[in-house]
Amino acid sequence: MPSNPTNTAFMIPGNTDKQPRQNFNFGSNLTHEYANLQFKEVINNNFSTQDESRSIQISTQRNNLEAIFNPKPSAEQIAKMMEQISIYLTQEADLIESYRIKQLNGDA
Amino acid sequence: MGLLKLLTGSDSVKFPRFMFTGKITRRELIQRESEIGGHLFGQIPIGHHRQFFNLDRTTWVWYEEWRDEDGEMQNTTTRYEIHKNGVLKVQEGTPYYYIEGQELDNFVTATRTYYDRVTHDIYRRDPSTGQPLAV
Repeated sequence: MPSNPTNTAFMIPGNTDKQPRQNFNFGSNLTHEYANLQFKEVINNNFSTQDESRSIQISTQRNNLEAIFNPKPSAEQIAKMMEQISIYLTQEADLIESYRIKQLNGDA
Repeated sequence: MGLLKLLTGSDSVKFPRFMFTGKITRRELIQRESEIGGHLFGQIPIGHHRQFFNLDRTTWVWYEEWRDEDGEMQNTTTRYEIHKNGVLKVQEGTPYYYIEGQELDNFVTATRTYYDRVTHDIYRRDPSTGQPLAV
């Protein structure tokens, strides 16, 4: 069990103040059962935190793998691609216009 | 719209050679192009009239009109503006935005097919070389 009271495992879920959960007092006021119940809760919280941590790790690793196998273009690369598309579309339109002019001039 | 239909288009618009015998205007040429353009996306729903055409070197237009359930004519015009940094979609009543992803892919495919079809069917030229087709 963590001894550091500021450990996030002791944060009360939903507590916006992020106040650490109070340390157990195994003194006379608590029955053994109640103490055990709280102990289990802490263990579960601890596991949740570990799971969350693992999930974040896996998510990060998955993103890294996706970046390797399916790299996302940088903003600069996207801008370059857009420029190429723009040039292509403009050239296509220029050609169509030139055919129109030839047709209108009767030299089709 | 189905991509397959976008790629294959329709053969339902044909312009016979005799149509070019009289004096023709640029507007009429674009009108003919727009009829071909309107059929690039497959079957047009009954009661709809659709046009897609190249207006000038930086503007493509999608126009569609139809009769609504009350019998009133409705229409919508979408303008695609070619900018250096992308293709801006301009539609009345909606925010303008630069198209991307599948929409951009479809748009480029449509313009390519449009070029091929109007070059061949209207201007009687080989789309690959721009040379007049052998008669």
